[in-house]
Amino acid sequence: MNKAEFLQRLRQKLSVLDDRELEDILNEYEQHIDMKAAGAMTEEEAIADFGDMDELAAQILEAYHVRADFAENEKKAARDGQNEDALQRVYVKVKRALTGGWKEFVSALKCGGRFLEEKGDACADAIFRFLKGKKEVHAASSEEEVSGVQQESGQAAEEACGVKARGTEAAEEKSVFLFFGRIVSGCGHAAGSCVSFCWKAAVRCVKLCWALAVWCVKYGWKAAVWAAKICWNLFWVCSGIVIGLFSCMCLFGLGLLAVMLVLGYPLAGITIGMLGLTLCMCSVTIGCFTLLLRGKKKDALSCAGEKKNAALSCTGEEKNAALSCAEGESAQTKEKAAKEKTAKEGEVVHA
Amino acid sequence: MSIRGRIAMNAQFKKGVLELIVLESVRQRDRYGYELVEEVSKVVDVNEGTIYPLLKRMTNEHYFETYLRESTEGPPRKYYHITAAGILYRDGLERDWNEFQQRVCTFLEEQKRGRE
Repeated sequence: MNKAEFLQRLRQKLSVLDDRELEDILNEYEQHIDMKAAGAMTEEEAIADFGDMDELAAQILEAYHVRADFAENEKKAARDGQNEDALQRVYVKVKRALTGGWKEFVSALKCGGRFLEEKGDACADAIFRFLKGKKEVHAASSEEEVSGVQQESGQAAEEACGVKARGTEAAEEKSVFLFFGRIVSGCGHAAGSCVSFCWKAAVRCVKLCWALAVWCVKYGWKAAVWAAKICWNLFWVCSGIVIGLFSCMCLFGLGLLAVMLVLGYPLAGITIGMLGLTLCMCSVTIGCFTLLLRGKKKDALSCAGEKKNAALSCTGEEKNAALSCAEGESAQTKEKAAKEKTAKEGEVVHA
Repeated sequence: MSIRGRIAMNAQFKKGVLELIVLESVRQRDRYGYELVEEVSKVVDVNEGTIYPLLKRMTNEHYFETYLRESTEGPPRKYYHITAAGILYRDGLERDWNEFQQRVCTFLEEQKRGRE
């Protein structure tokens, strides 16, 4: 082991010490080795005289009341960490990266927020100053007016207006003065009303938007209701038509039976039964059509019964008929919807 | 007592006496590290490496002060100078040593006489 190697190893072992102390100690050992090497010894021999490296390091550390195995343990722990907790380290790294990223994001957000705030403040300031300026103009103009009025009574007002002194002389000048004052005040008024108009317009815009949104929501609800109504009506129209056709057939059968009964066949019971059926069918048909436009306040039980009947007896042709009917219905409802819409819009405009 | 224990005991012996020798050497005049090692080596056969930690510890405990002085050959040397605390400590150590040594001697003498 030569000097450099020895010093390097000693440095490693004493790495727990702070740099100044470490350099101090290493310096001493270096000098010692140099001096020995200057004599009859070689570096290697001089270093061998120090004995065991670990013992030496332990003794040095003892002088600082440091546990000699501290650095070793540290290293060992580091090695163990490398071998065993690679996964955990990756996790920690990822976590750190994520939290770092999040922090940066948040700080960026904050920066942005602050920037916006500043700008907003500046804008608000500018607008405020602008408005204030307008008001001042307005105020000044009214002051002028007042002073003009005061000058009629011949008083010399104290305000710092060179024009004012002239105003005491003649009524013409006064009127001119008044005229200008009025113009200025008119301008002020105009500006004020402009601002107020803008403000009102903005408010109205917002209100309109709000109303529009509300209306849209309402309209959506209405549309749903209409759709439900259409479905309802469609269903009842279908079933009405089906049952109506069935009742027509019953009527036809009844006619046949009646003719046969008149001819002398013993069909009285069947005829009466057919009559009852026909009446029943007719009444059901009428019932179906009465259910049409009144909405959903009918009892569910009868509806269910009717539905089943309708579903059973529905055929393709009848469906077509029903569809055409339904189209008529939907057209009607659409017209209604359009009417309602216009009515609503009218309301909104009124509002 | 085991062999290992005896060796350790010897080391402890040396350690205790070493402080006294170093303090006395520095009290005579200010010395630098290598000089001290040579001085001590004359008295006790000691591992040269152990002197430096000792010096370090005693400097940390304010028995020594250090300063750098240019040398004719090589880099400046660090000299050790004994402080008042160091002198007091040295006197105490000397007293302890004398007492200790005397007692041990007396004890050994008695034992020798007893055996005879």
